[in-house]
Amino acid sequence: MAESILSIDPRKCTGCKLCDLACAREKTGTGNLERSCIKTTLSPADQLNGPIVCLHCQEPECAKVCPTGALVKNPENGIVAMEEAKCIGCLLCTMACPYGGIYPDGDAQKVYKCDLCGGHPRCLSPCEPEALDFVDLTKDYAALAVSEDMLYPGLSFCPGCGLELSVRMALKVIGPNAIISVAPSCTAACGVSGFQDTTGSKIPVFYPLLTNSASMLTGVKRHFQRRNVQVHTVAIVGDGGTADVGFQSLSGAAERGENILYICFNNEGYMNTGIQRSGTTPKGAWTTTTPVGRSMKGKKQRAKNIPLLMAMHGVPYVATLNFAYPEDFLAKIRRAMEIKDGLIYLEAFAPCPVGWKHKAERTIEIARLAVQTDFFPLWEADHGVFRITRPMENRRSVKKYLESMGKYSHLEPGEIEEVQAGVDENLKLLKKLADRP
Amino acid sequence: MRPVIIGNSTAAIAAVEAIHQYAPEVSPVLIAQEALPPYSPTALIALAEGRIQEKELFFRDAGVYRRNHVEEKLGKRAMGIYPRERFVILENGEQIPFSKLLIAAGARPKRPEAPGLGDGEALTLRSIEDARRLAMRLKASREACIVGAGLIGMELAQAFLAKGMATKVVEIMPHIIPASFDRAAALIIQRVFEERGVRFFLNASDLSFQSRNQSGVKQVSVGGTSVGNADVILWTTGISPRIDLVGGTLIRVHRGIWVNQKMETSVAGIYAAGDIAEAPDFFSGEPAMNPILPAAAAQGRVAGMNMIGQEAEFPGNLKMNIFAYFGRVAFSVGEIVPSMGDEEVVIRHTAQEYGKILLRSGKLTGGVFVNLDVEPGIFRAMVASREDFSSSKRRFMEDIRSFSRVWMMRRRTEGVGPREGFSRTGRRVPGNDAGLAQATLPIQQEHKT
Repeated sequence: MAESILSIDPRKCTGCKLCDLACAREKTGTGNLERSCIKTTLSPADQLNGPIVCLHCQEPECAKVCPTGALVKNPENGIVAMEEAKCIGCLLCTMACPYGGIYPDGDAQKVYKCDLCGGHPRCLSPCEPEALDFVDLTKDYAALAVSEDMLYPGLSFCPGCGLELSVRMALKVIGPNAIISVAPSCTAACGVSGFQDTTGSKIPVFYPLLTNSASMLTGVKRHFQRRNVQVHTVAIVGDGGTADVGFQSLSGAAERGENILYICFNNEGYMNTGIQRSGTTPKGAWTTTTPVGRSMKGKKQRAKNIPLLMAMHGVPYVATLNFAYPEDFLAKIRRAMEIKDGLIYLEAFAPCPVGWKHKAERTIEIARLAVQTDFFPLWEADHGVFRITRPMENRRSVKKYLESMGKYSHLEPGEIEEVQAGVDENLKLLKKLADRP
Repeated sequence: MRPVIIGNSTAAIAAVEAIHQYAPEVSPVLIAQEALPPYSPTALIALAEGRIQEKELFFRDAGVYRRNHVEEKLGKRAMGIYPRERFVILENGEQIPFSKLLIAAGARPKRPEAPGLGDGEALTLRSIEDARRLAMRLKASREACIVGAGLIGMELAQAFLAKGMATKVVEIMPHIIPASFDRAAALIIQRVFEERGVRFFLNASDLSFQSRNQSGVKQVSVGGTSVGNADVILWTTGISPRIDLVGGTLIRVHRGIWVNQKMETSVAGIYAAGDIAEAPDFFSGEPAMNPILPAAAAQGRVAGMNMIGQEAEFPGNLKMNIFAYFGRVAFSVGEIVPSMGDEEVVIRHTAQEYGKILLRSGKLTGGVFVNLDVEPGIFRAMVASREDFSSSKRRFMEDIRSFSRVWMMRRRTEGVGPREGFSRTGRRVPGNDAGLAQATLPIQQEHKT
């Protein structure tokens, strides 16, 4: 099922109304812009122009309120279509649509709206500034839905584990032509590397030491390179094995240019061994080794910024990933798989309900909050070119993120401000690197 | 023991579909008086007029029950509920046990009652039978009398005008459509109808009917004075929720069946939704009736979700109504008259156009618009957003259309930024959050954040 929709970037719209004209011509054979299904607004007062049009929503509000069921989303092509014979012109849909995408046709006592011209919208080609595009969204979801999970079910991760979700998603994209190394971590302990002669992974897996994922994987990769066999060698490591005891071997492999796909699943602590602080535990966070009491209130030191450190090694591809933004996640894994000229470092955000003290059912929401507050910005550095892949134009205050979990519940307002300042500073640096204003 | 739903219109089907979406293995029982697929009273005028046929009326086909794994008991009327024993009793004596119950039985039209009016001499319009009866009568009617100038009455007036019938409208209140429009808006609308020959009798008291020599024709008198004849009388003075269904139980009723934000009644495990329910108001949180289709759809969905353990909350009853008449549009959202301390900003008032917004501590509490260019859905979203617009009052007055559209565009892109996708040229491009954007502008928030 392919579903493409019109994508609109109002910031690029010049207000030329050529899209309105193209639609009017197509639908009415006239140049009457009043009858276009896409309606451009110019607002000098807001310094913004942009069209409004039906967005063919996943759960269309118009369809929910239509008294005769005249509005239906086609399950094949995703188009929200209007059956004219059924329309009584009650206009309830015009009241329901929050995007102003459906309009009254007073004379006919009906409504009219965009139907994507059956899949080839006419409004596209006239748009020179490319404020309008036609985007295929579901390709990714459809692909994910049919790709096989490379790990078996029934592994013993905690309910709501963000790490498990990230690993399974990543491996679905990477696919069966891979060998994974699983460092001592929750991933290993929950059965992925297996016990005796069984593994929780359907693909070959081995179990390095906490200090040397990158070294051991180097050996494996070089062996297959010598035999001229194309296979992805993927390191699945936690933050402890990456930022602390494993950094030496990782740094060496990066400098040597080893073509390994190194993914750090960052749950901000040594969770497997009982929630101890690591080099990536954020400042102020509670852990069992940075408890909250009389002499200490959470971790005193700031976290290391490993992705940035790895980018400074000059490796061909570095990126931050978050499963709450699946298209971004998938695109980055795919890009990583293309790279052949050196080490790829990916850092995947992994909320830990037990270690971070939040409800298991909030994992995805918290992962999303981390991006929305810029606590964990989504960016990449592709051969030295930095790009913030998901800019937050109007991001939320980091307080919202900190409030969502128990490990920060002891923070004073002044400390929260400090965290916000740290977030701002980090983002400023990223923007400078990405050369964004 | 399964969930049981009494009702077969908007709220009931919204609940059925929500249950199927989140718990497809559950097989609810649906009890409905009419052995018909689901339809909404909103479409009955168009049916009676002949603008649609019966096959177009139903908003789902008869397969909706099978598709959603529903065991239907159509053509069976629910007579009573036994909350403690957990069963519903039908007219034929059959007992239907329930684990959870949704009462979405709607409302019946207010009974025509006036001196000189015999049984069946005035028509109501609430069921398909009513519509069929009206359609038959209209074949030979020349003069209509509509009692009750609410939205339904005025829609009927428009329909009768289209048929070339002489129409008079009797209304007890000082202006027409009092529940949805203020006096200024009502006058503009009324004038348009009067220009086309409709006669209005407002502030009407002592309505009575007298027989004429011809059968089927009555003389109409208001305040003791004859105002002419009518060969078809429509009684559209409102609806009464079917609260008799919960008589004898501890299910709390006031004007309707009282429910909380989860659409649960005072008895645990029993829910109500739609025209029968009295749910918290969007602004005050106080129980309020809101017999409009969008509310029924939202309430039914919330009730269905809660019935199968998928927690959802109804954001509150927000009034909204829209009236299309002779190529014009009038609509209102939320409050239409200011309460103590509210600010009323009239943004336009001419002979043809009217626009006014109400603000309380800077937040929109309502608006009334007649023939003003503004997308009703966007304005509704602005009210529902509870955003502070006190610094934008001038913008409402200067150019409400651009202002509201830009507000919507900004909200859609704020906080989420461009998104990845695969463009027609195959390259990765930033786009907008189009298909998922409703997450930033929910009409109903279904999951607690």
